[in-house]
Amino acid sequence: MATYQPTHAHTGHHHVHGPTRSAWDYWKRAIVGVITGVVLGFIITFLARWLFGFDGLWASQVYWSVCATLAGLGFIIGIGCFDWWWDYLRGRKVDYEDHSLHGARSIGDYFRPNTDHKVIGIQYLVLTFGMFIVGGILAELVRLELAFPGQTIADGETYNGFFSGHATVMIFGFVIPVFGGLANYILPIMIGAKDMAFPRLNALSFWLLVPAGVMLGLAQFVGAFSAGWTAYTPLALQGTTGQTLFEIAVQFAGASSIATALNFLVTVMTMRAPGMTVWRMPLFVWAQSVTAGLVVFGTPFIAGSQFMTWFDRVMGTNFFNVGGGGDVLMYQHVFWFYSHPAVYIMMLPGFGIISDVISTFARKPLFGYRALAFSTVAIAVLGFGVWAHHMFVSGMPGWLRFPMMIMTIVIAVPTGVKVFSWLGTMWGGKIHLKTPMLWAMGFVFTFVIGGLSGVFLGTLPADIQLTDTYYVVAHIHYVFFGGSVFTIFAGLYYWFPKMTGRMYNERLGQIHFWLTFVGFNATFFPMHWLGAVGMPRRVADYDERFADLNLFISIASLGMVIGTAIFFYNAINSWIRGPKAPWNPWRGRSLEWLVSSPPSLFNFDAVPQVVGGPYQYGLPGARHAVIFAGEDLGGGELTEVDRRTMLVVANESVGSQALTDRVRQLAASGVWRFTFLMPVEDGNNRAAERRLQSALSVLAAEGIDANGSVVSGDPLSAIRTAVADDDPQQILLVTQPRGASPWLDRDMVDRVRKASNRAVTHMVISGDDARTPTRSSAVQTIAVVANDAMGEGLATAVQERADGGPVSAVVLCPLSLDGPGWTDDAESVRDAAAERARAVIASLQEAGIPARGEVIDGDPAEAARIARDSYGATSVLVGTIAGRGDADIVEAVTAAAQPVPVEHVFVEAAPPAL
Amino acid sequence: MAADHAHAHALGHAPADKKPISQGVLAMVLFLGSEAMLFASLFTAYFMVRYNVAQNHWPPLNSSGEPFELPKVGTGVNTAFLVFSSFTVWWAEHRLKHGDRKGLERGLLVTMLLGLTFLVIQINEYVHLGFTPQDQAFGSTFYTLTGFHGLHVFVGLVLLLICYLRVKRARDFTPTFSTPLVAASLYWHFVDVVWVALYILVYLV
Amino acid sequence: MKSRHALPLALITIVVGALTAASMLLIDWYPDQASEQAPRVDHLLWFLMICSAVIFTGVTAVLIYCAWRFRVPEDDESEGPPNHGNTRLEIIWTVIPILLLVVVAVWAVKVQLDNEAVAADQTAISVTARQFVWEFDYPGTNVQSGDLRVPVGKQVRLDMRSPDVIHSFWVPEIRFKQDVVPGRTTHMIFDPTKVGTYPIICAELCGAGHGLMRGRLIVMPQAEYDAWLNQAKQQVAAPPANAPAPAATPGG
Repeated sequence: MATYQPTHAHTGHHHVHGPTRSAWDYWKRAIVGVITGVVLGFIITFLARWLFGFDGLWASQVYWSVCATLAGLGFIIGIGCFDWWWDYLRGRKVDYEDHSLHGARSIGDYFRPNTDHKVIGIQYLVLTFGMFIVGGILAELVRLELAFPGQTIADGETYNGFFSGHATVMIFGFVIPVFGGLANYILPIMIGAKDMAFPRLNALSFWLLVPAGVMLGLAQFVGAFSAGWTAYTPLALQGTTGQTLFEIAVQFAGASSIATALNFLVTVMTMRAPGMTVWRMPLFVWAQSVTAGLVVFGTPFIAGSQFMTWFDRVMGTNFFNVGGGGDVLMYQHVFWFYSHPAVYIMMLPGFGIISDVISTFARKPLFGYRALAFSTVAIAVLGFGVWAHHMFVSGMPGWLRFPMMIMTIVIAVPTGVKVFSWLGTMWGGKIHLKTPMLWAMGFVFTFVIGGLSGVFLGTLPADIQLTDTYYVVAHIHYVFFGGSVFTIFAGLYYWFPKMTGRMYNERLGQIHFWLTFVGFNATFFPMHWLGAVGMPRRVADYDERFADLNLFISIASLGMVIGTAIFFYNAINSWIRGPKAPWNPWRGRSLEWLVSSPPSLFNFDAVPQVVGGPYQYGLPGARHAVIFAGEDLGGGELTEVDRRTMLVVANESVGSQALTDRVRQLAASGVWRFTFLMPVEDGNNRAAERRLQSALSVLAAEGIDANGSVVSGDPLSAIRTAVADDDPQQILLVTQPRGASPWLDRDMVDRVRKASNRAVTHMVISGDDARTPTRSSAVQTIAVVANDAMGEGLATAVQERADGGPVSAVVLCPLSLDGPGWTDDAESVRDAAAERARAVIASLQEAGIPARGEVIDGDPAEAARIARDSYGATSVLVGTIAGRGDADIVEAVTAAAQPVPVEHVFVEAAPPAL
Repeated sequence: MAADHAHAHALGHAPADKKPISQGVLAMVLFLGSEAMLFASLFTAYFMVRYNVAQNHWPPLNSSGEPFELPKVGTGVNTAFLVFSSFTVWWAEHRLKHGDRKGLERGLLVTMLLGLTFLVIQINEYVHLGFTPQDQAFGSTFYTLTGFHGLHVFVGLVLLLICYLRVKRARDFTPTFSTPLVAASLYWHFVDVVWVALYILVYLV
Repeated sequence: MKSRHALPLALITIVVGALTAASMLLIDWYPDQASEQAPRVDHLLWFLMICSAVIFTGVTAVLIYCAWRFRVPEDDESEGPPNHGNTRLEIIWTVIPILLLVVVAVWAVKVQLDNEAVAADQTAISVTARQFVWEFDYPGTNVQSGDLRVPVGKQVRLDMRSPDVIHSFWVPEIRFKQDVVPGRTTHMIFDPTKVGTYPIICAELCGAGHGLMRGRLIVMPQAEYDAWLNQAKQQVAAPPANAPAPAATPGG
């Protein structure tokens, strides 16, 4: 399935490269690489052990280690990650801007090394969600065992392998890399860049994860990877092949993670669009950058811990061997020094996503943007100082527990600031409860619970009781699943249209959310109680009194399983055949919404200019960025060819304030030109043409490229023709609200989607709004002032003047009632006047002249003043009944309306036959 | 789209150097931060084993009842080689700035030779140390720290060799564009600094 | 806040608060208290629970209110007020948590120091944790037991060692837990206050038998304890026909 419009190979002053090989060619090499690695590993190990006379020529763990490592390296070399660099180091002429591996024209391009950050992002998402399924299966195996007390489905060693595998796969194979994948796709676009700083390194980062995933999966089958994902020594030293594969997989995953993080940091530091100061970056960029810093500086510690464990297990060293002077606790210090920042690596990007989602779906700027940014940094920095709160009962020096507790408690403050800021963003907004917003609000609920239980665990005396129990299991799942995974789903649904060019099914999305939300809370909330009353963690067997609750939990967990299945169905089905997605389905402001869905090969047509913050909802005219900026903003050239066409299908609302504002908004980014298509089904073409001229004049005066036509007959075939002729990128379909719209009654929106095969945005403009004309100097406003003379004659007079150019009309009926008070008489006089005015207004609307008006308590001169001052009238028609000698009225009006010209119209004194 | 190449051009495909911060150098600096943390984790192990477990009875007694011995003098000389090699690589970059390609080549060659000398002497010392990584936590931490350092020296040599090959075969690097060279030399300086720290903290203190 | 929000928000808060309070008060959250340490820990836990309930109630009520009150139909294209923040509010919601947390921190330090206060008179017992049994040795005697028997009312000090991997000694009713680490001796003190039998649970993953590694803490009146100890000493001193006390029986 192609995701981009076809592009051809890079031409110009760059090297032209031949057609790229098929994915299968790369995989053939990769398989050769793996086999070579295994064989080479075997030979090297054998020779080394033989020549150096090591004990145990066949020490299996050494062979496994060397062969697995070389197989992994063989894979990434074979698949082609180093091809360009191989040419480089041999001194060949290389093109730094070699894009031969860029972009995806077919599905095969996703299965080979690709330098396009968008392709890499999708590769990550697919791989990590595959790991999610593996981790989920392991979780359900755990719950299956725990459904009943006693050893039910597996022995102790195997069961320990289940939860060890579950956690490891979820942490290293899913949560940490999935944010990398999502950010890989979105972040460069969000900062206005054409790709990441190092696209080839980006590709390598992804492929490094594949051997890691394979090894973790394989580890379940080769035994004894059962010391938990924490792999404490000395227990881990009792592990065998599975443990070895775990240790090596962690190194590959860590290398992948660090390489990606380096890429993000350099990209954000050097490739932001002009005008994007750090205070104009979306919070997702803040969060991802800070996370990248954590990854770069923290991950080496887990690498160190796994190196040392591996050395002890496989080479007989004494890091953790008590008999040899080793320090058992040292493992925990080194391990947790990374693994605590790791939990922030797994959470901070999610915070960034939630900030963006809540702002967009509440239509409000972020509450406390700077506080949110600073708190992100604070959490990351403080996060390096709290590792030993995982070790309160470990036997570490007693004095250390107190500063660790204090620092841990301190972290609750910036975290709380974030939660309150999100609530502040929602408050008073215009909330659209679409699926991304559901996940975001659900996240706030579950994350607060997770954070609060974290305070318990950070409080030393409480932790002593609660650590190593199911209370911790509850806490970690509330922050990992209720936290990280909820934000991952929020981000996925939010950016799904952008990445795939299709809309997901909203109903299925909502079902996914609710099933998961209920299932999740039912599964994990009871675990707080289980831990508090005495169920330890990492056990297959438990007290009889916990049996019912454990069974309930195991059954409740199926809610998440079913929800996930629905998600997969929705994602895949929508990707293949969902309705086309517009550029900006959520009317967001950040840069990714100003490009097509999916974006073109290099994202932008011209360098975007950032002129404001990304969350300026509610401020008319506020802009975050423009893609075609005027010379004064240093804009780049955007040629006629580059502008995209938007087809606007509307009738009554053309020329109205609402539709014109919307067109102005869309035009602000500089990307669009507009073609109006006005399908007329009631034969009133003249009126439609008037409205069109009015609208086009306004737009032309504002420099917006627009044209249009009025078409009779079947709207659907008119649209088909327009699509064929103008090739619009997107269609804006305007209708009345449901119930008042014959189009909606005929399901026009869906029919247009199918007929045009374009992204269709549906905008609803009510009848009243459609009749409110836009204010603009390009349109003449004629005021009609009359009382008894108000009638058809004046309507005709306005129409005659309308033929000389676009006009809108203001109908004013002045009533000078004799005497004060509100008598019944006065009431009926007023009603009659209002009726006359309404009739004239309707008549003008019928003729395609936007009109409005009112009854005024005052004399005609007063009405003239109001027309000039409040309505901006450019001329006044005063009507009197012929033969009534109202010359003084005309004089008064002429004087009052100065300098606006006044014309006098005689009307026949006919009975009001309208 | 028909004008993709024009777009790409408009977006500025300039090599990284045209930006105020060179992207390649920035990446290397951050990467060195991460490598520093790797060594920090190994040093952590060393200090915990030495002060927590052995209570600073260091070096501990080996199986013959004698304290382990480290060749401070020999390694001191070796350290001097490595430190000097940092100067030679700096000198090579300096010569490039003046357009002296021969100087660049010679500087790189001498640096690599010095680095290779360092490695050979280290390996020779390994053979003659009289203890193995399996000899108590002392042996384990010593060999791991120095071994990881040696691996980094090896990688540094490879980076310098790549630069050398580019200079010779591709006539690469100019006074205005030498990012890979700068990155490689930064890496080399890092390796040097780590060694000095290691020598002081492990051999001398 | 505008007054039209106050009443519905208050109603929602009351409902949510009531549900939260019910779950807090109607469920037995903690085991029996069998030590002097336990009530101190429990009071702190209750304070944390109350604070948590209040914060949770507030957040949930606001969430529900926002989803109900500020929701607009899909067609609504308007935007919310361009409100970027409110400094006073931000200060309030930073300062109040800080104050609460200061209270928690100070209280926690006090509880911990009180709980670790060493008494003059201690019963010291050596604990050996191995894969997957608990063994208890009474110093000054050759008595070895699979159950941990202690006299009530007198501080117990456990000196714990492991010959293989890390284990963790935990009795929920005591509210103390301490890892047993190979290569060093870790210590734990507690003051048992209630006669009874309590489970000793291994709380650190130690291998395939981790879930089954249980022991029994038997708190006995002083007289019974003395009697048991004497009898045990005699059994050990007696000819080999009387084997020493058996290894721990998993149970509890």
